[in-house]
Amino acid sequence: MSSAIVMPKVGLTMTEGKIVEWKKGVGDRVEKGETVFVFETEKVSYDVEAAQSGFLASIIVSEGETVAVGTEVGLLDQAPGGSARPQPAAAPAPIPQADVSRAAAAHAVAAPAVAHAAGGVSSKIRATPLARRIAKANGLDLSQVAAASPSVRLKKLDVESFLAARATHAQAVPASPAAAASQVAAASQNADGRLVRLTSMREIIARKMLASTVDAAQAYMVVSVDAGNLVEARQRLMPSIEKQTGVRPTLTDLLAKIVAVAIGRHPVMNTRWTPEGILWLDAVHMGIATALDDGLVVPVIADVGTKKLSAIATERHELIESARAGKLPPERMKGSTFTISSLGMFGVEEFSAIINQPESAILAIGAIIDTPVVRDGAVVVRPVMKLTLTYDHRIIDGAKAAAFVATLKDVVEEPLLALA
Amino acid sequence: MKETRYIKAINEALHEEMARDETVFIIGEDVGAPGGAFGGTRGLLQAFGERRVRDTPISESAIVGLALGAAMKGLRPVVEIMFADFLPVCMDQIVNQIAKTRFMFGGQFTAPLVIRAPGGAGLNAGPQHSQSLEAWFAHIPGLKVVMPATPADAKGLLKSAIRDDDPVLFLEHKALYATSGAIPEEEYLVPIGKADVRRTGRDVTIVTASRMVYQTLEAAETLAGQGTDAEVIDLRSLTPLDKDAIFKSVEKTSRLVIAHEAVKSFGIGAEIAAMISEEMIDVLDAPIARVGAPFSPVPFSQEGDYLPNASDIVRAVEKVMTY
Amino acid sequence: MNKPQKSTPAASSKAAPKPSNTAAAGAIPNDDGFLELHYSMLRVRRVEERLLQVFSEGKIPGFIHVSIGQEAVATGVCSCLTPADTIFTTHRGHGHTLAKGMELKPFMAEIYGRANGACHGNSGSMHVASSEAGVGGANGIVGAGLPISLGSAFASAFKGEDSVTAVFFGDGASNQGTFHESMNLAALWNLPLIFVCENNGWAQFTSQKSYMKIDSIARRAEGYGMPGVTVDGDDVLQVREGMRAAVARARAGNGPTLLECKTYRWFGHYAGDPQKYRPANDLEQTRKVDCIANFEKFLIGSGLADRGQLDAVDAGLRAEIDEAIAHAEAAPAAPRGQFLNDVYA
Repeated sequence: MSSAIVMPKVGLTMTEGKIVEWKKGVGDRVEKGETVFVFETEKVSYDVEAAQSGFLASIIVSEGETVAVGTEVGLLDQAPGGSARPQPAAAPAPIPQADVSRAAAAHAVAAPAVAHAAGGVSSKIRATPLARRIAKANGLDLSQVAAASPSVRLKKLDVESFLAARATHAQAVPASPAAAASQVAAASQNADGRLVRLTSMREIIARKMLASTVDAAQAYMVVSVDAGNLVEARQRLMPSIEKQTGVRPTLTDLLAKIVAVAIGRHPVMNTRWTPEGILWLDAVHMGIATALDDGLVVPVIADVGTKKLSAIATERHELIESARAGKLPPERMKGSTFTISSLGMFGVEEFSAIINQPESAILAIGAIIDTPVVRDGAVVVRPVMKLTLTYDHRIIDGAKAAAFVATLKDVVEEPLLALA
Repeated sequence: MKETRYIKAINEALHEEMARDETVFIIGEDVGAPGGAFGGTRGLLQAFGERRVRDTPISESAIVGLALGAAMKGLRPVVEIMFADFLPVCMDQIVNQIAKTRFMFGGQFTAPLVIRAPGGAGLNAGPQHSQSLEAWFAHIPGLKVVMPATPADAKGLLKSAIRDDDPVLFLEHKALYATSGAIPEEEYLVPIGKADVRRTGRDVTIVTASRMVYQTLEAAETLAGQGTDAEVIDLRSLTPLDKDAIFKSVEKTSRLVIAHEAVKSFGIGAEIAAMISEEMIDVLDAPIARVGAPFSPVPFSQEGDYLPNASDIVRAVEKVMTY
Repeated sequence: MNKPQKSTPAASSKAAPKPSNTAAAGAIPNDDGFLELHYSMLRVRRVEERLLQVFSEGKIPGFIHVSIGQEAVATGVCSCLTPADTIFTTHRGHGHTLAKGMELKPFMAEIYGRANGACHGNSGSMHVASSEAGVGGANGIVGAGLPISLGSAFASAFKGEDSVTAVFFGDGASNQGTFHESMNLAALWNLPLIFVCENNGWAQFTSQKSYMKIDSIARRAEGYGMPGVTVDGDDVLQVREGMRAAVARARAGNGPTLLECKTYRWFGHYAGDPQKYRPANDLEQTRKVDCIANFEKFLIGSGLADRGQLDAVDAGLRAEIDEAIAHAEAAPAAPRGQFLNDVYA
């Protein structure tokens, strides 16, 4: 008797996973608790452990392929040598919905297959005629695209992103050596170098960034602020917070708090464009763009406006540490309503960021640089920081953005105003 | 090239074609000594005499019918109807007679004539002197309908219209008469039935004509500032319609907005939208949007509110882009 | 065929006969195209009789309007015109068209809607035209031919030709704005145009006296500064007389004339019209006036023809019509989509 190994669902919104590595080969003995395969989703990778012992009878989904949740990816036999099909009579077990722990993910292994008819929901998929045509021409079922796309409605971009991702997979797992050779030849005709296939994270970054530039009317606004008081405030708060939490508050922590205060006075910054209208959000959930070695994640500090600086610092520290370890649960990367991104630590004076959809704005924070400025008719040197707001002009008019930026400048320059 | 006003370009075309072809004559109200209500026929009486420049009584049906009878006998009349709003006065002659002459008589008689008429609002001329009625005529088989936006097109298209063997309704825009633009020094023709891509772009196609070309180009600049690259197609001719130009552009951009000054309902925008839906819906990545006037006669004192403008076009494009 | 030689207008302008109220008038000069007039009238009548017959047999699509009883108007007017002259006619235009010289075969084939019809089968009875014969088209819109005829007359003057144009219209059309616009402009510009009002007393289903205060439409000419003449439209010689004068005036560059020809409509507005609107004995009275029978009586009485001669003409016409009908019925229908070729050049 054999049982199916399926792609588990981890987290509320996971729809698909990409198999990164099979830790076991066909015919290998698998002990309960051993990692059978590794998959990636939403920028995080998971080890899938065997829920029971047996032999890996077959690998259905190869490394590099992305499949929908519940798809059967391999078969586990109780005896060596077989590759029999799983028993159809096996009752389906519920897939964990809310629990995002690795243990929960492991439970999915060897659970009976829950086969989702891929085409079954096609009629409910909203897609433009062009998206449908491209899908059809490429033999795609739109439900596959829908599952992989963040869009409410599939457009050309969604289908093309999906195809691009698929093409990358196909390249990584060529149908034949000849095809592989021709692909490599084709690639090398354009440029010498090495081709690195896309990670899930890279695909998502690419899709989101591109979609954002297409979907939003992005406009920019820069302001120089005197960061003297901000730096001083941090210095003064640091000892007590570090003593209390073991974490040193960063300028980003302070800014997260200050930005939340400014947003509180300009709630238009905390909105979301939807097909039905503009959604005004109550709480400010602050996304903090965080660079990783091979990508980028945006962990979220929920309801930042109501949190003390010590709580923000602690939470930020934990989030970033787990993100760097590749262990950030998807739920901690969701729901942000505004994002800040800082490249000050690289000495970048100013830059503009792309809005983290579906938010309406993002703040790019530059380095604090000693700069000659004119004060009361005299040139003095001040620590100046440049803040660049990217905002969605569909929702936020220039004057509204300017008012927000002005408040932001006031509060950064006099952090005490956060209490006002 | 030389800077020339729109009305002057029309006047030049008439001078040149009358000098070139003895069978061309001008007929209309006040086209002689007064030189036309807007100056389109200025100087023609002096240059060509009363035989070829005929001032008429206020009898639009007789004027247009006369043109048809003369055309059936080999002349090439150019009629001036003072306002496009007066075309309905002689609608039978245009729709039942002129448009059908070639057809009804199996080609034994043809109607190579031109009817010039200024349409459009913008001069506070009120409900009976400001309409954009082109869709009516574009709906009539047998007529050709052109509506130039620029002086260069006005001249080149009018010359082509006079030489055309079919009846051409030449719809000028009275609010463009005083505008100027560069036209070639040497003789040239602009073909009927060919659109002009006024601005190339990759994100959205905006199809327009006549005065709305300018509003559309203004909108395109605004959109460019927002990162949307619009392609602007000036139809120039409604019949025959340059479907190829529209289709080619929409194929490229996957998005379509049609902007016209006429009332939006049942207008050319509806026709073009339907055409795309029927023949190439699967290139569309967003719904088609139309910009046109509200379903109301043109108000005398509130043209600003009434007339579609660049902001309306920008909004329509934004809607399409953010679908 | 027994078609007599046509006399040219130049030849026929000599020795105009006295207006005759009846064909039994006294001394008549030698043949002044009389047999030709008879032939023309009878041809129109026989053609339309056959059209009524084939229409009732369901062989003709659509509907037709016949002018039986009014043949003297068509014949008298067109006898004064040359092929270089042009006529514009009405929905009841078979007679005018044939009298103007249109060949019967393309005429019939058009009414049958065949590929070889004069208008490729696009038009049918109501819009028959012949550029060859100078028929600028029958017209389905009452009064619409009037402005067009202005242009034809204008073109003659513009080109310095001495050709003229005649436009037929009914009493009903004289109440259209186009009539008034055209009368004014033609008079103003001295156009070589003859306005032929074929007054049969009926505007479709309504009698003249119920829609007009005046009895004589010719009186309206005065208001536009042109002569207005009323003739007995059932007397071909009177019609011809009036038309000759008008044509001479036009050719001489003296401008237009309104020629009102009073006549009777024997049939309904359209073939099959039950004519419930007509007074009880109106039709009976109407048919007592037969322009052809009267003219035959005159020809025989004045020794210009005998019965046998006229019967031979009739037989010849019937044969010609049979041939044209057979030709039309044998002709192929217009090819599918053929009509699209005639919309634009």
